Amino acid sequence: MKNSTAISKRPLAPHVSIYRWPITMMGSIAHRISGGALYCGTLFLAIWLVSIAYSQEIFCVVNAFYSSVFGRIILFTYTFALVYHLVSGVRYLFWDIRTTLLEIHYATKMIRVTVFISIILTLFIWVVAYMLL
Amino acid sequence: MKDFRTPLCKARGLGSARDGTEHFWMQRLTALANIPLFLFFITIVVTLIGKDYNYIRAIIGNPIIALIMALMVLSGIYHMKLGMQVIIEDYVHGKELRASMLALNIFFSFSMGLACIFALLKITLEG
Repeated sequence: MKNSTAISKRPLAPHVSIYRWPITMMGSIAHRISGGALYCGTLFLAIWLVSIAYSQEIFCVVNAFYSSVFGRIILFTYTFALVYHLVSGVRYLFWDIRTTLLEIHYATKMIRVTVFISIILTLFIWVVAYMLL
Repeated sequence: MKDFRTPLCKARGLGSARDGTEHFWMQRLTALANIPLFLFFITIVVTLIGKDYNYIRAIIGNPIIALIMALMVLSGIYHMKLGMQVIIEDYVHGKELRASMLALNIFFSFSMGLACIFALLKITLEG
């Protein structure tokens, strides 16, 4: 240990709050939030599967809830979280393989593209679902 | 070489937990596995919308579909457990609170995973 001022002389990163939010930062945060939403959403998958395994009566109760307006809103949000997290996750895999894609103009463009793709894909899934209904 | 460790860090004497690389690697590996598995899952669920109980039970009970869904649950839950662990480690700072939340994360992940796998087994084995 050379001196006791070692810590105070270290450069300190500016705190998050002084940055203007760049889109790459929002992409990262959205990835975590969608992941957290999917984490809670596992409950819906488990309840659905267990109800099918248990009995027709229980399944009908669960199905009625999922088919209600409130249930559909939850499922739509769940679909969007899943699709966004999936598409965004592929982006992270690309960034792992080709770090040159992390250059700011590529990175910004890729975030925009992933948001666009996930919105289109989510709407596509729900349009197909309603057509099959 | 310059030493970047702080005096406090040296005094505590805690080093790497030695499993960071495995965590990173498994996060990517399960991410890769999740892509086809969840695309399959979304497709199956969309085709099941509005169908009656017996039809849904027959489709989910198909051994191939149940197998792929079980793989999805295993890979998905593992990925989810790793992801939530990072979030807790990043944002929860109190020592006791962090330890309890890390434990809860493991309990929740195992419970959800086991419930799904058990349900799939029951559906597919009862036919």
